[in-house]
Amino acid sequence: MIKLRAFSKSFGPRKVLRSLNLDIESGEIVTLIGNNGSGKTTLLRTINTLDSPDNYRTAEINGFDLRSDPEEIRSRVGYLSHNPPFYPELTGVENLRLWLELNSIGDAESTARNFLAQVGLISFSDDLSGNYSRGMIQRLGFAMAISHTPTVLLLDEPFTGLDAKGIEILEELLIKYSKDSCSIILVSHQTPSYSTRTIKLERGEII
Amino acid sequence: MNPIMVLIRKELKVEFRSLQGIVASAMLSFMILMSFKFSMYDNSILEGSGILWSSILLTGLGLITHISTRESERGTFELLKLSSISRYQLFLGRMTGSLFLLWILSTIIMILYIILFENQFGNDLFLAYFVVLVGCIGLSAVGTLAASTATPLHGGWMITSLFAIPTLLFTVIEAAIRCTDSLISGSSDFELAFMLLVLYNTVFVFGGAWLSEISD
Repeated sequence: MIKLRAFSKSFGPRKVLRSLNLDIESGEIVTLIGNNGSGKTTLLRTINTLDSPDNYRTAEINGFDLRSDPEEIRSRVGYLSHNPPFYPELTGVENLRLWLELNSIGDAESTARNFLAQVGLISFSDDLSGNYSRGMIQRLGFAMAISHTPTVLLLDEPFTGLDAKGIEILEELLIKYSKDSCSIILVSHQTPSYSTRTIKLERGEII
Repeated sequence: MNPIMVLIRKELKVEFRSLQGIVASAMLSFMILMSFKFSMYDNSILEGSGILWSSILLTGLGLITHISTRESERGTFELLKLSSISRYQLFLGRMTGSLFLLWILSTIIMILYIILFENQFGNDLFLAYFVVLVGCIGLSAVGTLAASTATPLHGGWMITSLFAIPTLLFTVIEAAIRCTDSLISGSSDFELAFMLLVLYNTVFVFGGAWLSEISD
């Protein structure tokens, strides 16, 4: 569950998020649309604690405050960035295992292989991620986002570079996680049919 | 597994599979030592260990900046920041990962130094090597802190050097040079200088961890 009240963020003199109010319930899939520079990515990055908001009245993820409980929030949020970062010297399974071990998930090796199988990457799990295609990186990024069983998923244009099969896998997983009470924000230029509602962001404001 | 151990293992694996940082830094240290070898006619400078430490300082900072820049450019630093470990664990993990690589680099520099400038430490060679390993702790702490702050900025490697070199020069490096010089000259300064070196290291490691934690 995400609850934001009077949530603001600026970069220098430029106000990117202007006193946003937003509620997303458990199990909702909310599509976030808006033009380039409207603040979509900044909103995701401030919710996942990569960027700090300037001020807010309320900013809670599952009841945890963004400023006072950042570690609790990070353990509950899965994030897929527009360009997922990985170590090209490590294999797919090593990258995912690193992430799981940092998040104190037990039996990281088999858990990593299990999630790679879910996103259709199991046959490439021992290949160096530096040799992965754009679509494979996207699948690996999605596996990372869901592998520590988050209750909130923040996905920044998750279908970029994916083939038809990849899109189908991701959509099935999104619906499954939504049924498991995960709150999902999906940045996209189109609203998918399974989305529960669409929010439009313009110049940092919800309209 | 402890997150600090996870980060150390990751750092070593990434470096040993690419060998970008270690090989380049070792080559640079060889060139620095060779420049001193060819440019010096006055042997009195060689009676101290300043050349050894200037090579460790410059190439060591270069190595740490390279590691940090690589993380920053690939975006993998953000990946680490997204995990649920605390910021002080992230700092200590990155610092210790860099420290292991610095120890490898310093070992290479020490061997090159002895080949090019002869063994001035005599029977205290292993004690001098131990001082080098201890000195690397402070270098790694200050370097990691400076590099992680500066590398997201344009010209980050230059800012790292501008911040880290003066900080280290009048603390860790000065104490370390006093230590190794006392081993060469046989003076009684060693214990005091070594205690000072340990003190500086402790301040920088704990200070770095604290600053990383409060900067979140």
